[in-house]
Amino acid sequence: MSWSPSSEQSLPQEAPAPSFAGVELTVPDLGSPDDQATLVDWTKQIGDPVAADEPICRLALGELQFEVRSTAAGTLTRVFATPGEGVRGGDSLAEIAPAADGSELASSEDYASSEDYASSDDYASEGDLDSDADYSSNENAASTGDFGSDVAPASDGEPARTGSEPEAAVAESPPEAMERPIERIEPEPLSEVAPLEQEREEPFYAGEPPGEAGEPDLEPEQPEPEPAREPEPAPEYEAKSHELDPELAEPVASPRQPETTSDVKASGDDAVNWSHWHSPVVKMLAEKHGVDLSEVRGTGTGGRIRKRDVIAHIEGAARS
Amino acid sequence: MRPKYRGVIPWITYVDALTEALRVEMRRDPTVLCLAGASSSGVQRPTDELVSEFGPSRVREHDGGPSILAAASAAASEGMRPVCELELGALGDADAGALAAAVSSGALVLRLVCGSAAGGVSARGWETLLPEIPELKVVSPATAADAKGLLISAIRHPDPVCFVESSDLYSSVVDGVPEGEHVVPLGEARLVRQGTEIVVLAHGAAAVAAERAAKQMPGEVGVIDLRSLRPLDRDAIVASAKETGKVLIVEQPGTATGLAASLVELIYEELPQYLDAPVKDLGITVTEAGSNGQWTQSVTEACSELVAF
Repeated sequence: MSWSPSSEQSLPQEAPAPSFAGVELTVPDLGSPDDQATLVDWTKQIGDPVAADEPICRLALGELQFEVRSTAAGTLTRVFATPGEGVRGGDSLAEIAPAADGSELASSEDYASSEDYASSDDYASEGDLDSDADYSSNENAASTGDFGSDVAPASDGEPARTGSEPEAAVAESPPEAMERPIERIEPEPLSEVAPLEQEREEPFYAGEPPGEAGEPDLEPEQPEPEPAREPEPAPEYEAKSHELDPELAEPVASPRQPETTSDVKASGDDAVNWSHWHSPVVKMLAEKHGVDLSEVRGTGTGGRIRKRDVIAHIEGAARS
Repeated sequence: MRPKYRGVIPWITYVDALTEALRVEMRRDPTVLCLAGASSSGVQRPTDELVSEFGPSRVREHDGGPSILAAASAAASEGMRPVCELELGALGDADAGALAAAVSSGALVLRLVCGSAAGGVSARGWETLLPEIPELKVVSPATAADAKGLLISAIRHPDPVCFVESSDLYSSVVDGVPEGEHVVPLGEARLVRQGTEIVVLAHGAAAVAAERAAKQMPGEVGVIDLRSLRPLDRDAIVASAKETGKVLIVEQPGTATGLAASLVELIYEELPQYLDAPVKDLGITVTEAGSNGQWTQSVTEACSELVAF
């Protein structure tokens, strides 16, 4: 790409060509290194203040036109292409001199975001057909207003500049107004909900002792069966083992009760569940070969009967 | 006519096997194109060596996923057979539409590169990016031989095929690969090891980790490398799950969305009465997968836990 600056304006600060004092803006990736885009026009001129993400020029790639946006806030100091010229991806387009110090950069970025609020608010409130025009004029106005106050001597005048400040002020107030009611609403339900949660949580975790104080309606009537309820699956298996072998039901039932009374928490429940839980294949094998599972010694987790235990039992029975 | 099968190349890396497959197919069929992204990660890529033989018109470099997909759908609808290389880490939600359009434009192969070098893995997984259409086939090889064989059959397949490869395996997997036109049919799983106690279902890099873990418990842990994720080899999965009764699904990071669900569904649908333990799904986090030893270790732990259950 050629380095020839545009002939329209003299550069305010002439820097040596290869080094960039400011931020270099390049032509974005065009998809293929062979593709060439044409510069349509500059939406910003040399000396214009530019906000971050503000369009500075338009490129045409075939039928498609798109904008190149600034990556930094500052002042447009140099351009390297004239309208109608062809550019390729990665070519230098322009140079932006960043705003003088960090605080100004930050403030301009903040400003850019609040400016979005402003324009979108206008959209929402007015909602007429002219909203596009409002949007663009606000955008220009806000940005130039910003830089007019902060950085640079005025460049090519943009008429709406003075109007922008009140609008921005208006725009900044609605977000605050939005925040306040939320803050007011939140603390009230929180103070109400929190004690409720505490009341609910305690009986769940602690089991017996809060049960006495926590839910007086249900528990005084049945204080003793309550712990027996917790391992619900267990009675079912017990019932099944009743069917299979009534004698065995009693010894199974008796060791279970001390477990539930001593270990209220989850670990105890797991152990109980697994030792009484027969997997589908274990049940199927037992049924198929007429094995009484109470005679099989489980070697799995928590004394669970594994498939190999049943098979070993069947094979052992076949041998003897 | 070239001979279909000559012998075995004894030592070849995963990435060289992919190059070999592409070379075989590009020599055979002039409509086969390679579309790759610009090299970003610095790892060797299968298409690197092909440019000198076939030139930049058949081995094209593009700048990003959308541009590759657009070119691929155009080429596929013109009757060409594009083989695209897409880095999964670079694909986002916005690309799902382009991906769906490319997949529905005709026969093409999408090589989805995952792994730590390819921009990491997205937390949501690539399966959500793939459109749920029955024509789409998905394969994920774990060995160099399968990488070659599956890529060749993916290119020859009349439907769109997603070829999921892990760049972590590129240079770490080395094995013997049949010379010439080695074809591995889609839809067949590979029985890696036989085991009596549990079977591990895995694919891609996870299958490699599962194989390592299984070697530490010989005879007990069986491993099935699924290879083909759509369609699944239902017979192999059902047979092994029926034999052992305990199933562990190991997934490489980024795949935790759809595959395990469909495997669990398949197993509980086909053989609920044969299960000796609930099907366990081991999702490996990205940090664990970063170091291969750690990954193998967590698979080993899960295996021994399940064997003891």
